[in-house]
Amino acid sequence: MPGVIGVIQATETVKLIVGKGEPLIGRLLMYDSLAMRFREIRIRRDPECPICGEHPTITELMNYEELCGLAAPAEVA
Amino acid sequence: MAKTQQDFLAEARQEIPEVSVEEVAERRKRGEDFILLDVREKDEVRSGYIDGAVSVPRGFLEFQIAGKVPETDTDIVVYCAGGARSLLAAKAMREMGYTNVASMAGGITRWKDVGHPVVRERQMSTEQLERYSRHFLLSQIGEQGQSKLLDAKVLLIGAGGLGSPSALYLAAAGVGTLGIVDADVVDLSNLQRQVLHTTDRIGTPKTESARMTLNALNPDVQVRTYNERLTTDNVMDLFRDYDIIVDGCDNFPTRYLVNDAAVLLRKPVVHGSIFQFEGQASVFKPYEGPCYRCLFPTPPPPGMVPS
Repeated sequence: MPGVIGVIQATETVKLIVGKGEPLIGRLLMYDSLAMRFREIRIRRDPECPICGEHPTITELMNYEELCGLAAPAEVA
Repeated sequence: MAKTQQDFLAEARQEIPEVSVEEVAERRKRGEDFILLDVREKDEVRSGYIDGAVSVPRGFLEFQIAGKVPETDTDIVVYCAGGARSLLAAKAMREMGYTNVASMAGGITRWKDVGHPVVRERQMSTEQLERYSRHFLLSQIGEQGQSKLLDAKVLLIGAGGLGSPSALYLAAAGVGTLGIVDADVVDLSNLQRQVLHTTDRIGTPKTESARMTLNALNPDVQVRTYNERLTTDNVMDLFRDYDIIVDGCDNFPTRYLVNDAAVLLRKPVVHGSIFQFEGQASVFKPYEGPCYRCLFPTPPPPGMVPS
């Protein structure tokens, strides 16, 4: 199952490098391997996004374990 | 009555206007919109061509031109080595309905003689031409695309379930530099899906195992291994060296770290994630499209979604 997504990632990377085709920018591809169905939803840049929005509040890196509510780096998988 | 080569050229000159290299250079300088068509053989093109020219060898002209230049009223200047083949090619195009075709007198030889620049793709070895031959059959890739792949630097976060297939296919395609970040060692339970690794490498760092597999597949690829965890201390310096980040992370803190670093450094992230039988993929190109935070502004509570 990860095989399909991994190859899709490789394909998108090649497309970005050679500059051809339509990359998945602004699209979320969703794959259900049991039903064997792909579907796609449009995703948009959020103008309120704290890092890439109109008025970003994040200008440097932070403590990500803390962000995710995990106690210590050792507990991260 | 049999035609001589002079006859062919004379007939072509009657129908096809010739333009000088100076005129072509002037038009380019003014930013005019026209197509330069190079009708020389592939090996001639490889030794240097005019930047931006479309290559269709004379032998394939009738078969490929419509695909490369679909509009028959496009402004086209054809060139070859000396200005003769381009005349014949332009005449053939006229017969195919192209109404605005001229031939560059003197060809690229004259172009170079008066000092105008030519560009070359990287020179590929015979082995590389054979290895990537299936890419050259695809107009979207071709030799120019292959050159771009060989020049590209891609960083893979994780050499596990997602990283394995993407690393394999990127190496096969000839991405010149592949960086791999993974702090883990190969474990037996990985081998159910992590196809980059092998049974005899259990206990070996995944980055090392990856390097072995990828170099065996394609020695053209420079594999740079980072047998360490991605942290706030190393991420910025690491990302700076690469063009594209491929996110095969298996945990949320790293996903947010990757996202933030990529946005701050303006690097595109090819995102992939899997959970049981479902998967997702997208491309986050900073400021052109959403980033990971636009999609998932807050991480899930700990324990809700296993990494």
